[in-house]
Amino acid sequence: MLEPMRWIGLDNYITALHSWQFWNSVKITFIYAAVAVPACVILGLLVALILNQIIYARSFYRLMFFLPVITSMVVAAIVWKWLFDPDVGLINYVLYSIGIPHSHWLEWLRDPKGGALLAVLVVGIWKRIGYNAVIFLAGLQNIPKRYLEAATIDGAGAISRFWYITVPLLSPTTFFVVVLQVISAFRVVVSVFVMTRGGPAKSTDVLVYYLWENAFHYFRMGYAASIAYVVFILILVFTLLQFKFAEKRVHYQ
Amino acid sequence: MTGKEKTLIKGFIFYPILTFLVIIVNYPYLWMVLTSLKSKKEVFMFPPDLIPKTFLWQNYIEAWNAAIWPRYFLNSVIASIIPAFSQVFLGSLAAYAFTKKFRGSQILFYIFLGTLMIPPQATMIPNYVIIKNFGWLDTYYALIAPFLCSAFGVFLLRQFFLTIPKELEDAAIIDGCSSFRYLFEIVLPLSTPALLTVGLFAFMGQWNDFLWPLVVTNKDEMRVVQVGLAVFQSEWTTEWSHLMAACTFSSIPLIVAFLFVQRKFIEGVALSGLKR
Repeated sequence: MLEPMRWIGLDNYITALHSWQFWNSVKITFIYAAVAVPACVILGLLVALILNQIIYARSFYRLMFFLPVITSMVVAAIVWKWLFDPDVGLINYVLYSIGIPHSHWLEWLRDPKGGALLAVLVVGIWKRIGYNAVIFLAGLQNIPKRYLEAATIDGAGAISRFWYITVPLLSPTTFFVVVLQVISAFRVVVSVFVMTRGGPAKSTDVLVYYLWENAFHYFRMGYAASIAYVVFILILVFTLLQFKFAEKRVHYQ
Repeated sequence: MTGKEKTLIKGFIFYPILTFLVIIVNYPYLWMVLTSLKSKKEVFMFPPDLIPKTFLWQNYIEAWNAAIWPRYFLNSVIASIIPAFSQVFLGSLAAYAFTKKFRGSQILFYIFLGTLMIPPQATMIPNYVIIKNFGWLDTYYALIAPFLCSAFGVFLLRQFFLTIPKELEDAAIIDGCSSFRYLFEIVLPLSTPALLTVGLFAFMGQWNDFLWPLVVTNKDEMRVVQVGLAVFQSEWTTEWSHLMAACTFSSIPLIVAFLFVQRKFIEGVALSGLKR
């Protein structure tokens, strides 16, 4: 099944650079990250901000937002596949009920022009919000109350308090969340595996799925290992870039 | 406006919003359970019935009997519990060593931390080749061995051990306590929250892991729950009620177990963001 290993230098990397499938996977991974990272961070922060406003039953609500985080991605992906069923699924029923006309997007997992990728994105974002919200909430509670009170006495409104006190003081937490989120976006694979197998027409063929398919479907271990290095280097470069960017913008107390 | 009134007004605004969001976020689970009780005909009705006309518990029995679920569960338990205990045990030993200064301790610790940067997908292929050469495919060794120790666990425990006052160790050593005895009888009992966090993270990670068990197991009786479920899904593609029944009973044990430890677990996640 596996060929014996032999030294071929950089051939695998050169093959990758000349393969349209490889570049397609790079493109899709970047689109995925470009949507998933801001969506997960902003929605997580929003949930945390609302949770921070209430006093009673806060840990209950926090737990309820956390449930998608602990259920396995396999279960989540199967359930969402059913929700996204283009013919009898609940999501299309709701969308039709509120008057949204049919378009190729609503074909979801059957749509190679973005519908399938959007469906995979929704699952990934849904599963991650609770995690980010929990970390943001801890960060928010770590902001000393006296700063906010002092600003209120000085006449600062809710928006300027948020912008000039909460955002800068929360920046180390935000930085942490963004770094983790970028890493997790580059590593997405299980939802793709269960929901679309990279299809239709390679429209959800993210890098790690491409890697998996080459390694364990075509048994091109060497080639797949070179893709693994590409994923690793992408994550490394993006993480280092963020650290560089953060130097000036993250404020530690 | 007094503080009390303000709290009341905030409550009126935010509790309905939160409740609405929580329902939306968890609706997929409710829909999963409702679908699992529908008949085949009812599943394909459009518009869908929000509540099944009769609850078909039969679906659960049929889904349960369609695969060797007890075996999948047993495999998952074995592949989760052993790494969880081992990561706590080996992690404590390594973490205790890393609280000491010795020749090369800094470098060794950074190498350890560096491995956290490497995504598991990048090591999956070399790991697979190694496991295959060992002849371990389709055995518990393949499911367990790569996860016996984790750099994350070592790091977390070391940070916690460092918060224990050094004077305690000095006093114990002067009284003739050995390093091992100091670790097991003084450090570990003081570190229960950290040990629990590491154990829980390991257990959850292992239980929900999919790609690695998929790759190293082929025989049906070596599959774990997640892989069994994915295979079940590929065989019962549009039998949604049976699929949802399988999803339900395969996720309930973990959710129930999680409810008992949720506070510790969520606190663990929350604290990870506060580390500077």
